Amino acid sequence: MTARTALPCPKCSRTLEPVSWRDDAAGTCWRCKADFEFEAFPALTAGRARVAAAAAVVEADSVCFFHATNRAESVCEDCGRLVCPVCTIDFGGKKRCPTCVAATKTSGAEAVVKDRVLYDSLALGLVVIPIFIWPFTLLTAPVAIGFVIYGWKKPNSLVRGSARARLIVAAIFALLQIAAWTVGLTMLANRP
Amino acid sequence: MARQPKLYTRLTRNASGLGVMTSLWLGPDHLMIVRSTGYTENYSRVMLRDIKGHFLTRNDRRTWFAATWAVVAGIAGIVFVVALVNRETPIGSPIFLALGVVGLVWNHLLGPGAKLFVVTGVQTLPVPSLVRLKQARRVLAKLHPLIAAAQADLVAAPPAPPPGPPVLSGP
Repeated sequence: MTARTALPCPKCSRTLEPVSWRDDAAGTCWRCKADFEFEAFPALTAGRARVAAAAAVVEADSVCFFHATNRAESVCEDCGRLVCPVCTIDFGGKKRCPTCVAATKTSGAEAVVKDRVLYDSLALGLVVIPIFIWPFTLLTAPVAIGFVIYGWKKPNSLVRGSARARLIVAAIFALLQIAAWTVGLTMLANRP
Repeated sequence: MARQPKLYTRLTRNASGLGVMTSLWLGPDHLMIVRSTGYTENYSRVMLRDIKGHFLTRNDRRTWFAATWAVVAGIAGIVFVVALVNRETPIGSPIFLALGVVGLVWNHLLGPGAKLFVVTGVQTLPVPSLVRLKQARRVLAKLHPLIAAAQADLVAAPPAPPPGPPVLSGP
């Protein structure tokens, strides 16, 4: 019960007092009167195994790249540096050293991406929505082509499929709109 | 060119908010909440091994939706009846009446409204795409074995030390 009482109420965010718990799995916040169910996982009460590095004792021992006095016990799967248990980070399903983890954060790897712009949706929106106010297509069709070209090699959504098909559809629609404008303006200019 | 294997599995469909749609996805070792405006996507991840527990609270979502659909069905019903009484042929009102009734039934079948919060060491994160109790329980049933597997190696906290042996004092 001790670990549970330190939890915040999901509604009012104030710490749940022991009086708020009916049993281990449910309760009512005595401040905001919100009923809740709670299910705990091992992480609530368990700690992590303590990581301790062994000192290099003989000259033949390989030492950690970052700690000259610690014995190396694993290899970074990205750069191959020998690292001690303190420097071994389990990140993205691989054992990595702190430098490679830092590099991953700036590389745009999928494991750390925070947001993405959907150029296919932008291009498609720019060719479909202005149809209802068609004079705008004179402006939006070339912009849509620009988005298709700019977004062609950009990474797309992490959860949707490939953007290429939608980009191609947007490009076709935009080119049709540009062609229609070209024909229309040419006919207008050649009218006697 | 070989296709990349799908990294994420969808757990919930898009739930609409104010200009934002949210959905929940399952990655190899984490949950990912996707907030999408249609033109941009924002990702929040929660590692399965960091989840300490989850709160499930009920809310009035079903009641509010029922009230909305009832208003639609009620107004359409009145217009429909008035048109019939006046011996006119109603066209729009039966459509809206049917829409309202279907909405009411559908809303009832979805079950009570609920909100799920995932508790980690640093935050209590709401999962906005889980809005109904039945849906939340279904998703949690899928997640429980995965979370348990991800936390299988966690070390149990040491129990409080037992009281020491009584000190015997000699004569």
